[in-house]
Amino acid sequence: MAEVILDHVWKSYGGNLWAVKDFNLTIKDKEFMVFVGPSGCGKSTTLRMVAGLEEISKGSISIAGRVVNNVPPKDRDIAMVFQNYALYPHMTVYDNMAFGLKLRKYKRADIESRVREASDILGITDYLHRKPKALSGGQRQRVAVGRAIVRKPKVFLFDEPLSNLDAKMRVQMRAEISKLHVRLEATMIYVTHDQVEAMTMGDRIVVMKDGIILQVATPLDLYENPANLFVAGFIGTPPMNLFEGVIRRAAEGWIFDGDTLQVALSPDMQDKLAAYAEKKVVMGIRPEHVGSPVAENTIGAPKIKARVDVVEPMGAETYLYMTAGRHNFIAKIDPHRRCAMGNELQLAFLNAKAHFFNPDTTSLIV
Amino acid sequence: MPIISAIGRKHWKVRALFAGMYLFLVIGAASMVYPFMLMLAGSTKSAVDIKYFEAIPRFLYDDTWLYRKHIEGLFNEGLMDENVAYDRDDSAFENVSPPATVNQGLLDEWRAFLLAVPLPPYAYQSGYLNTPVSRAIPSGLREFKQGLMTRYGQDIMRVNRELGTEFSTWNDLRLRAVIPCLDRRNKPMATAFSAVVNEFKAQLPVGWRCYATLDGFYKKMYVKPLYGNVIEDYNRAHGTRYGAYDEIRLARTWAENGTPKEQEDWAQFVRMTLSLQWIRVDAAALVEYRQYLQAKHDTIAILNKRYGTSYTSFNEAPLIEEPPLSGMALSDWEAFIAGWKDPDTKRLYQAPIAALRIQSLDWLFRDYLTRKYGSPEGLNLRLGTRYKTMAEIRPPQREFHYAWFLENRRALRLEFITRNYKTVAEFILFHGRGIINTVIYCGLAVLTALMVNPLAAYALSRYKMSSTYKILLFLMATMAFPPMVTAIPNFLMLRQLNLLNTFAALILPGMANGYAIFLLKGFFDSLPRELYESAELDGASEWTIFWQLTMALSKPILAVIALGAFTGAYSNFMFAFVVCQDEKMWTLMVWLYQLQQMSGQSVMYASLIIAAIPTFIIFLFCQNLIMRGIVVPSEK
Repeated sequence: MAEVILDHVWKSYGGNLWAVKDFNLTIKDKEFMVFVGPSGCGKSTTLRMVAGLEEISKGSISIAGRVVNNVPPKDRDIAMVFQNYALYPHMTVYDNMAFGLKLRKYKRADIESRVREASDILGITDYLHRKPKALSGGQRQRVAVGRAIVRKPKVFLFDEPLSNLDAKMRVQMRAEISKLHVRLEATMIYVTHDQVEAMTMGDRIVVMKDGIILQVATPLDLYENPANLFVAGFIGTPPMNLFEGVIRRAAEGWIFDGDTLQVALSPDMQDKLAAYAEKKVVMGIRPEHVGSPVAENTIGAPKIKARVDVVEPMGAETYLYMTAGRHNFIAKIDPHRRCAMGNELQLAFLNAKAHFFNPDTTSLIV
Repeated sequence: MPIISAIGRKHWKVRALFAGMYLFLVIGAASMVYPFMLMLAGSTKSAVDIKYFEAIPRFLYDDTWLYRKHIEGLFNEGLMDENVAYDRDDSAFENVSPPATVNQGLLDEWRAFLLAVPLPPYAYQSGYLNTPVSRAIPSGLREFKQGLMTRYGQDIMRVNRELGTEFSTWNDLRLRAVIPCLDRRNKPMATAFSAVVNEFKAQLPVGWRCYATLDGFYKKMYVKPLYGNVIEDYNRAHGTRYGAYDEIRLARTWAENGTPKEQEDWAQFVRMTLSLQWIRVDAAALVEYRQYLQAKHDTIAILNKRYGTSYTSFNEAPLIEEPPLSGMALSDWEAFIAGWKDPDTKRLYQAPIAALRIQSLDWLFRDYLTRKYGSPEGLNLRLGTRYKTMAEIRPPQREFHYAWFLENRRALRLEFITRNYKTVAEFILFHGRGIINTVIYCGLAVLTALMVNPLAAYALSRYKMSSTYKILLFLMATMAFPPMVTAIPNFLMLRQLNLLNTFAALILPGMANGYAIFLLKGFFDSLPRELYESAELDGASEWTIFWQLTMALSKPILAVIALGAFTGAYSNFMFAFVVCQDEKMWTLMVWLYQLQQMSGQSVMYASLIIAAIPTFIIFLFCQNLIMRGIVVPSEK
């Protein structure tokens, strides 16, 4: 059992400036947990506290049932992969991977077999006698991962390991790390600022901002039920469309009134939103719920009119960058539907999938 | 836009720029290499050519200059000796020129004469035994020292003990090499040391020998100082009609020596100036001599006691043929030739002038030719000469030396090229501790620099102390003081610690170097932090991180530090001299300084070049590492 528990963890670099505030999280055994958030949100700091590279200002961290606040990194039974690989430039790939084992006084044969095993898994057996300089970025990161897995630690920590790779290699490594997680059955904590990585890899995702956990959820849950405006805007590409406006009772029923854009509310939301009548709210809807085949085929979905600014055909779908008065939004439509820049277009608005947020607290209303 | 882009290379402006840059580089290179060439050339020189600054020494391609250097070496840099031996009036060695014509027949006769007639050791001096002007060690002297060393071992004191000399070191051993025994004051020595020298001289090349010939000496040392260098003045004073000084010969006897005035010169010269070795007295003087001995010593018993003889009466005392080298007999003999006034009777005892006869090398040679050819006519016929009398014949020493020179030009060039280097090498080798001290000092200096500086820099780089900046500022401040300023406080401190004349005194003050720490800290800072963190997670101890990671990654910069420490230690002269005044602790630089004090300019050049070799070798082998250290590497 390698459960990682962060209990009321605070981190400050001196003064009253808190990099991490009251962080509470239980990472289950064999779970792939992703910390995601914009730069400076405290995700790396949290990871480094788990690793023991940073001191914990308040609270406690325990790994596998043992409080490790004062345990040096080498005794925490963890391994870490860094963004810039942090390979020892003067050692061969083999020595890089064997270094930690040698220091822990493993037997030579044992080291050999562990390194072989790890290099087989990662497909770097051919490069064992090269120096890191002679490897490509992807190969280097594999070595860095290999260096982590030879030690067979309880917990793996990844600190933005794919950020230095090119897009294609990133996609490939993403899948490999996911496979590795299945194969090693270890607890993994993965820090990234890329929400795609977070969505594709994590069992659960922690969204952080300004040192605070905004939401902890599975990827789909996060996508479909963002707890607040930030998560809503952060998760998903293209991001969720957000409209500012007020809730109003019109002749045809409750509507969201954004001056230049008015949408009827879905009946099941009306009760909750009635309390916000004549109040400002932020409405959020994902691009695939505006003008998409699903939306168009939904009976009773309101229509909105907007002008097409930019057409981005992606093949499987087409993104339209639209303007409706003071509102800009993105719609994901059927690629076969004809549209041209500058034209007015009527799109179905799947109001049942809309979210409403309180602009003052940023939290979800419904 | 860059000044030189790949595009537009062929434009004339860019071409002109390139040409200008190359020109500039070539000029720069030449300005670096030319002084070095001057230095190399200077290290092969001697007194005669040291004043010429040139990249290629002229004796390498010009035989005349090689000849001049050779003549200079042959006469041990004594111009007077050269003029005396050759009977010439050369004003400097650089004006000396080879003989225009060589009479091979006469030369062969001279060679045959030297073989046939046994000559005492004082009849000649050997060349290449001394360089009073250049102050180097010529090959003759070098061989002599080596001979002594094989015979007496490395201990100069043993030489002093056994040969009665007073050399304090091997480097003090010098030979006073002048053409011997023409002047009466230069008496041949009868010491154990001179016997060894004579023995050594005898085995040197015959071509190096400079024989004591008389005509040159007579004119140079006696006639010209009295009558001036113009022959007319001489003619006026003597009533003679010589066309040139060259025609004057010193006759064998008083009676034969021309006009009365010339006879007077002869008498004065022979009685007072000429060495006794070359004067013989005829039997006609025997009676006078015995009376002289009696007047001087009173009884035969006293004479026997003083001379160590066992005559029964003064009538048994013989005339002296070849004078003894020392003792009462010599001074008595000298007084007899010069004239001795009995203080009691006021009677003058003196060898009669008619009984005196010169027996010099010149005359021995002329006698040899007379025996062989009978008359000048016979000689002229056989050798193609035009002598009217035998007295005109001059020993062909100059031709003899020239012939040897022509055969040995290669060896001579080698001698001149290597002489000063050998002088330096020998000087250093004979002072055994110089090299070993330097090796130990440099080794320890490098080692301590590589230990202390990285440790300090590592601590500063890895642990962010609040005082880091202040410490760095302090380190920078140490750079503001020139070493001359710190030398005296350092000396006083070392004296208080009782460390003078130890390696600690040399090493301690330079062990930590502010600049090196500063440089290393900067470099350590540039290593990625994740590397350290990764090592920490791998379970590396602080020492492992320092040694296996930081140091292993800093090799180039460490090479620069090591090189700096090495050159600092190696070239450290003033401080090394101040804190280690004991000769046993002197380093190479201090010894070289000593050498430079007692040597000429060309030896100094050679010593500087030799001193540069270790640094040069190190740079040669480590240049890649050092260049990488200077262009600080960026690890990606």
